[in-house]
Amino acid sequence: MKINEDWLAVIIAFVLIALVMAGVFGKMIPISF
Amino acid sequence: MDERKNSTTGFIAGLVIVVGLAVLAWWITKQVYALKLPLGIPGKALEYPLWAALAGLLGNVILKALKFHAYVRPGFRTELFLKIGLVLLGAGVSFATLTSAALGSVLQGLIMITCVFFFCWWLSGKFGLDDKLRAVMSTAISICGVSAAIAAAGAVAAKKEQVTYITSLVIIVALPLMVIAPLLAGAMGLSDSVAGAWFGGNIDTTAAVVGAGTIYSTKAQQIASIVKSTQNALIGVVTFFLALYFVVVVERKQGERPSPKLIWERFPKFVLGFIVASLLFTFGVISKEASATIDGLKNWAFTFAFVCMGLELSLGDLKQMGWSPVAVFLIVTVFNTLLGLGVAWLIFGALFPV
Repeated sequence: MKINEDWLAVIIAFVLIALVMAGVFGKMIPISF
Repeated sequence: MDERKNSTTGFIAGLVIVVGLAVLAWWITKQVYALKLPLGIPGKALEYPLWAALAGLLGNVILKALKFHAYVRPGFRTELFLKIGLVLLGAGVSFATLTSAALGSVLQGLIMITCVFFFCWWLSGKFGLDDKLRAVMSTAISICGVSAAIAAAGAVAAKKEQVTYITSLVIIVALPLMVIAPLLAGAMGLSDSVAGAWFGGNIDTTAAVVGAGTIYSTKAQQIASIVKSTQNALIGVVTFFLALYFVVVVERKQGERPSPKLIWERFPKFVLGFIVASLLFTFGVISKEASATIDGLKNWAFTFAFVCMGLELSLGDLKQMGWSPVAVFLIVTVFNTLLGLGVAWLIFGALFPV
């Protein structure tokens, strides 16, 4: 099945946001730029 | 089966290369930030998108020399990384900014897209370019480069090399503009919002718009992204009318009947993600602290996108198609730049100052 790239981007972005809110990124894995 | 296995391993290998080059770009960015450059330019002005694109170009040259480029290409996902970055960007934009800029950006988007599209269509006709190439180029310059070029190519069933040609031109022109536009805006003393609206309405690729905004200021980056996102949201409308024109006038034999469903299918869905992320931030579901971390992730996503842009640049395809499309592209870009400056100043400086 071909997944629409737009929806895939939205899903990945919200998974990343959820991981930040759960403290995985930022607290456990520092993100600096 | 073997082909599929090759494409999967090529995808993974490509992704590993993109990550490696992104880390290299991040490291260079950190070094350059500490420098003081000639002409009084602070090192910070040369932000991460530039180094990411250069790292991508370096990878491009090496991979082609090793004849490894085509194999790992499935891992170069420019648009995907760009869209992930744009949704993450939403998590740092308060809805108050979005609504205050919305009216101005919709107005600016409509004026710019209409004028630039028809100027490019007319001029490319004078130069005798192929109708499909005209459609892809006009959409790419008037809306947002790579994704608009892809959407327009789908609507008019353009040839793959025409899309690659326009995409390469878009990238080549957008990269210097990304650095020059903020310098010019600074020299003219433009306010953050006028400068942001100018970058958003003028520079062709979304990533370069964000790059130019980043170089200027945080507020310019936000306004530039909002103006660009509004303009991108109009891709569906333009591709709908293009598809209609090509089906009804240019290629009546091909049986595609454009419908409202077509607009929805071609509507850039990541814009919805941007708005939802922005609402979550506005209503405090995403805290300021989390937003700062998400901002770091957004920078990584854009770095990946720029590395992919550098990796996908193809000078060979450009040579094959001759110089007249380049001439048209450059003339229209100058027209776009001047018109964009006037419209941004009028709307964001005089009518709806943000």
